[in-house]
Amino acid sequence: MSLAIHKKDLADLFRDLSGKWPVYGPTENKEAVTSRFRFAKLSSFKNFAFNYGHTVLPPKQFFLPPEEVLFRFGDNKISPPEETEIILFGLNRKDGEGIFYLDKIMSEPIIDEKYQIRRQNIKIIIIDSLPPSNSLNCDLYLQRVDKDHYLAFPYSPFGEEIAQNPYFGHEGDVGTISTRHAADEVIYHPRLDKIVENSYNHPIWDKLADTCFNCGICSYVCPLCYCFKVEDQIDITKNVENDCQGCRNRSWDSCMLPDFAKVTFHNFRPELKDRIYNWYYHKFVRMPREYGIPGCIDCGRCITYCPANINYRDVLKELIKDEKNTK
Amino acid sequence: MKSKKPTKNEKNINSQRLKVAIFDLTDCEGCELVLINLREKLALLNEQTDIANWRFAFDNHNLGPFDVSFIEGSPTAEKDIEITKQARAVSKYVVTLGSCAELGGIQATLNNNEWEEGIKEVYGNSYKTKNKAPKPVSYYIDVDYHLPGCPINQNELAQLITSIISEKKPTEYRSPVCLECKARENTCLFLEGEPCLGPITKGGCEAVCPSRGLRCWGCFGPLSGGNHKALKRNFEKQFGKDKTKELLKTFFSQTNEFKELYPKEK
Repeated sequence: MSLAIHKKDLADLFRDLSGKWPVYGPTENKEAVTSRFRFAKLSSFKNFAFNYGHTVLPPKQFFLPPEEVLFRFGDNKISPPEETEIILFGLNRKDGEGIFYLDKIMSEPIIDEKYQIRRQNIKIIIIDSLPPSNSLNCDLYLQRVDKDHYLAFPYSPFGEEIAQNPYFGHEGDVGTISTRHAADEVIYHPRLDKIVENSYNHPIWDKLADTCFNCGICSYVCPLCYCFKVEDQIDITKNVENDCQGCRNRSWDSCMLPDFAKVTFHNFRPELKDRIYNWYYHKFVRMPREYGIPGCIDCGRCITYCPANINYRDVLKELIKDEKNTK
Repeated sequence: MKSKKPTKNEKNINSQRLKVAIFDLTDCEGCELVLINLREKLALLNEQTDIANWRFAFDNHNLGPFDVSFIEGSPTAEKDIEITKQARAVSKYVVTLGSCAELGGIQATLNNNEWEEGIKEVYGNSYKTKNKAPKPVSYYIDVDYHLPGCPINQNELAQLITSIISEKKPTEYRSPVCLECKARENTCLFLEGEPCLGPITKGGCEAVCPSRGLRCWGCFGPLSGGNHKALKRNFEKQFGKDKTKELLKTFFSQTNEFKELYPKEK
């Protein structure tokens, strides 16, 4: 006997949740040619998009937003901005795994306090047709097992609390577990770290440096890219008594950008070729060695949004194919 | 000959209110409007600085010396060039406001020959002008800081003024427009077949055009270190050589990046 919820009750569950918390989830803009899906505050269940594939920005925008104020200062006071509790509803498993990996990155070896505060305030409910994996850090997992039924797996006290809701029942037989085609396995190739590490002289890096516009979109849309810059912003035109004069701001950055590696007037990675190699090296060599996982969940956002049509799967396949030649 | 910075008699900036001048040359005065649109902030700014010369908004026409001179517009008329050189001679810092002053503006798109032909076409053969083809301010004088944009961004302006007042070197770190555009989850106009210059253009505009469905025209100027060559090649395949040149020329015509892409262009 397993815990399950009927599809028709999902809307009621959603209504109950959104009565208590702001609920964010994937929505679809049917008129858009690109950028069809994005995460937004859901005012009604009708706006929720099942099977969204991927949104423009990954869920990291909620924990590590493009721009944020770490704290304000001025007039002898320092104050962190307030955080609110929200629910992320209906992420797919892949995005859930992305959050699990990013949690790891933002807590080992150094805990990113701001990230953790936001993270604790955000509850996550995943809906997917795949069974839950062991790389998840969510509150409730709903697995679609047939047309009408979702198996429920609570993973936290908050998830347990929701699952005690009368919409959830114990069902004996709720159909068979459906399976999807396995994702392209190229990022899990057993020797990938060695192959990428030894590939610096492969001609593909020159080829990429000829086509890449150096815009950094592949980093902005990546669920696991976390590079940021911190800057103090002081505005003397603000009134000191009512408004703090200074903010310590954090905003996204990318190792792809020309001045990223500029330290005290010296740029230690001035060539685009080196920056592209570094991007792959970090994701497929350093991250697997540091965290035991590739810095990629194979979501394909960087492929969809690359204006220069660069596809990391093709790049990795070519490197794997030429493994022997580049050693 | 370029006029050099004054080295003697430099004042300690903190000893009194910063003496500021704002000069406008040939342009639309849009960047000055941004300054005026600071509204109550402008009043606060006026308390902390001494705006000693601003034709556009004030009656004061002090001749200097100044701590900072802001120059808007591209030197075109004889008087413009005079003002530009004079500003350099009496100011500790010279800051350009907007694309016209930094890049020459759209009016600098025409090269010297095209400019002369254009004058004949508009005013007739017998008309003689003393105006020169529009150039960036840095063609005539050394410039300390550039505030890019058409028009400039209000927050960046307030930031820059604060930095100068507090004797802090203004941040020059720039990312392409795409960062600010993706942060807003806009539809990618490039992927939808528009000749969007976002990937190689300096950000700072908060992606104001793409957020409203208009492609990036490159008004903040080319991002230094960006891969302009790759974008040019891509554009040429999609839109043809002539169109590509026209697109890149609009705001980049006087920049080194453009000269590298089109070395034969005079």
